[in-house]
Amino acid sequence: MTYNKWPITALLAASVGLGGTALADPALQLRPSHITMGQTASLRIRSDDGSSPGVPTIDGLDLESAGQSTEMTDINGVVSQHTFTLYRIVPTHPGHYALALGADRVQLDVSPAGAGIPGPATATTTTRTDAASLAFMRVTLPKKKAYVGEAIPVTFKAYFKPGTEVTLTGPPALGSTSFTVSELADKPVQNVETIGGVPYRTASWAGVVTAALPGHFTSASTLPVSVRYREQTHRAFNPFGGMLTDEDGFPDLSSLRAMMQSSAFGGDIGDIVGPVQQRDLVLRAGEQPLEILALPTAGRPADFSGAVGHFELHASLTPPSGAAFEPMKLGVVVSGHGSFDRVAYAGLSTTDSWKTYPVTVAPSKSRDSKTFEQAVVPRTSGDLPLPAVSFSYFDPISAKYVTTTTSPIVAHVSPAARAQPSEVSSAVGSSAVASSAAPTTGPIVADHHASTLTPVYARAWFWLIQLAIGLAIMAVFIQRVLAGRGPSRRAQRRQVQSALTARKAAMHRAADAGDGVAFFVAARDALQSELAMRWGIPPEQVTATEVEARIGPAGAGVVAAFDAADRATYGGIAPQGAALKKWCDVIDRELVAPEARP
Amino acid sequence: MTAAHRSTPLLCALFSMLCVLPGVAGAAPSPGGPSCADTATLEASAHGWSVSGQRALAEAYTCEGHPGRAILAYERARLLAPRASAIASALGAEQSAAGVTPARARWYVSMTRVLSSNAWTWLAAGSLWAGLIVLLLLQTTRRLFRAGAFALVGASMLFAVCAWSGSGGDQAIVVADHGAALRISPFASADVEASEPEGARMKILGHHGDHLRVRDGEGRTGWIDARAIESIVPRGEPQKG
Repeated sequence: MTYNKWPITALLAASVGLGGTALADPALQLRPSHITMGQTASLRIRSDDGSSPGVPTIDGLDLESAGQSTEMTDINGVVSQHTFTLYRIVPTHPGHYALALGADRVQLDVSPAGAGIPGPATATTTTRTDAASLAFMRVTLPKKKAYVGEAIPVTFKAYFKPGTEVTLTGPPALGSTSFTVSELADKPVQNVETIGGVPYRTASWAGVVTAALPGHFTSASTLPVSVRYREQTHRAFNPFGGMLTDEDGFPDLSSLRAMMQSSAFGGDIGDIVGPVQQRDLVLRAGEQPLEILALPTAGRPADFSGAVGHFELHASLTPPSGAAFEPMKLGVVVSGHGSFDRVAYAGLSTTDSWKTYPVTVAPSKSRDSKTFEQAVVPRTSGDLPLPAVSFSYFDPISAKYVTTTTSPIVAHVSPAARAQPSEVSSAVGSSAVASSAAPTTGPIVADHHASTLTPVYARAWFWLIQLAIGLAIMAVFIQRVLAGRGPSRRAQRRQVQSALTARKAAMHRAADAGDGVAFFVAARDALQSELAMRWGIPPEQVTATEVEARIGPAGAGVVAAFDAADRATYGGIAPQGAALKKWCDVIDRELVAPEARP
Repeated sequence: MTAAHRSTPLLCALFSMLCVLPGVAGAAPSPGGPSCADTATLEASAHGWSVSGQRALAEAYTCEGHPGRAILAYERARLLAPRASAIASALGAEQSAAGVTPARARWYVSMTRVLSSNAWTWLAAGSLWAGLIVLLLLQTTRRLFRAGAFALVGASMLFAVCAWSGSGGDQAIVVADHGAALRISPFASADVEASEPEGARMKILGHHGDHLRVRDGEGRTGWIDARAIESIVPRGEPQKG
């Protein structure tokens, strides 16, 4: 692959004009050296002593400051630092311009709009990319004059050239110990901004600057970054070059790669295929003067805490009503614009009507407000006014101190529960009472004295009592089991009594219905159950023979009942009418007088 | 006489016992005043423990700028009168003023504060014995009474848990003036895991030498100098003052 001859010559000339490449960074560097009207060029001025040159004035050219950057290089252990100031050149008239700084001299050719620019050379020359062309920084401070403690909004914005890989190594700083920067976001807002046709990636931080001391200051904002980029390789991109000279008649691979990268990443055509470099840079914004005024001493309120801005004050009592000696919470909210670091509230003092506790700062969800909380306890009942809450600040717009005061809050306090008049009066009363041995100021609560705080379950006597109770219960239980009068006999008796009641009811129902057979079946079951329970034998063993053997003539009624039941059950012969009623009386008599039997 | 008739005097006795337990009794006056009292005098003049005494001590410590000891006194007063809302409110206010985040009381913790730990203990014991008497000695065959007896035995376990939960026996308060360091091991030179503010409440898990293993309100465990904290139920009690 070969290249056209005349562009090589032009590029070499341009390279020499730019200062002989980067091996020794020139004091002046201009890129590109040929532009047309409507295009811009970049001018970089190097300073080895950290000074910032003024903006040069050239007829026919407008020079705009585009920020500063600092580069530190370490060559064989020798560290050197250079400051680069970047300008953007916007031509207002075509022509040939010469820029000189010391021995360095560069030329800029500005062609009228529509005129052709000499084509790039096809030779490949690597130049070291200057730091200022990789990134620069701007700081926006809307005010040039402010008061001590006044919050001034500030915006730091860093610009990074396309194709660079940037790592932020620190937050932006204003470069002066006389200022504090607050409310700065951890992560910047990223965007893309086109300057001179170049789509720079931007990172911006919004914050608040507060001056601590009066005087004249100059901001020198910095931002440490680490930049990775591909070293520029000046190579002409001519997609048709290969077609004209190569044997195969197709564009060469490098040209295609260049075209792809250019379209994909928006970089210059020449910024490809070079080595990857990494530099730790400190971006520096242009210096800005700032005058800080001291706060006036005349008319300064006694409770002024240093707050500067414009604020509003709101106070509330939670709950708005309650009982005496029940704590309430006084909330004081200071909202507005300004530096809230200096917003402070001392709180209400203890009075005869109110006992107050120290003020605490509540977590605030908003940057535009600060909330204070103070626990207050009413010492008496009635409509108790809380003292008005006041707050003083300095208004920088009117340059005057302002004291804002809330209306007194009236709390509706009911008498304490179970309070006694003597106690309430003592709580309100004099210091003589206060010096008593127990100067409680709270509400009345049930008092209780104890010789120890150790819980009862941790004391030996408690477990001794429990052991005694347990042993007593177990002893009774075991005694009952061993005596054979245990639970089975008691339960059995209850079951028999329940069954006996049911059978007697069935017997009476059968008698009322005139059903003699059913009556005698129920009557026999009832008698057997009753006697079996008395004698401790199964009911089926209670027969007429057994009754005669056990109680003899006393059981004649029972035996007769059994006989009648047998006749009714097996023979179907049962008395009816009055005879059945008579039998019912007999059975009832036999059942209700069991104690008469042995 | 039925079983219900027999158990009525027992329940009445239990109720009577609860009625005279701390925190449920009637009001008792306590004098007051707006200025501070000497804490040393209050400590020396105390005979046993009382709600009014601990409260006076707490206010005196607040005046002296010792929020940790003030919170400790309020915690002890709450042990004696767990249902006193005024004590709980004052404790919350003191914790808020000291910058200590009060532990959020869950519903079951609030339930345990209906009675004192001792009341729960007696209730648990009474329920257990009542249930066992019904089951073993009365030998009732009625399902309702048997179910009631089993419920009493089960409830006694729940009451015992309430008694243990509300006793505060393993709880401690940081009383060191400037808080205390929570270390990763029981040595003064060990790395600090966290800083506990004065008045912070923690649970004692164990001890080693001069250090106690604790768990704080945020669930962190570590070792803390025993001199920096004080148990809510004093070690080596029972007598004081």
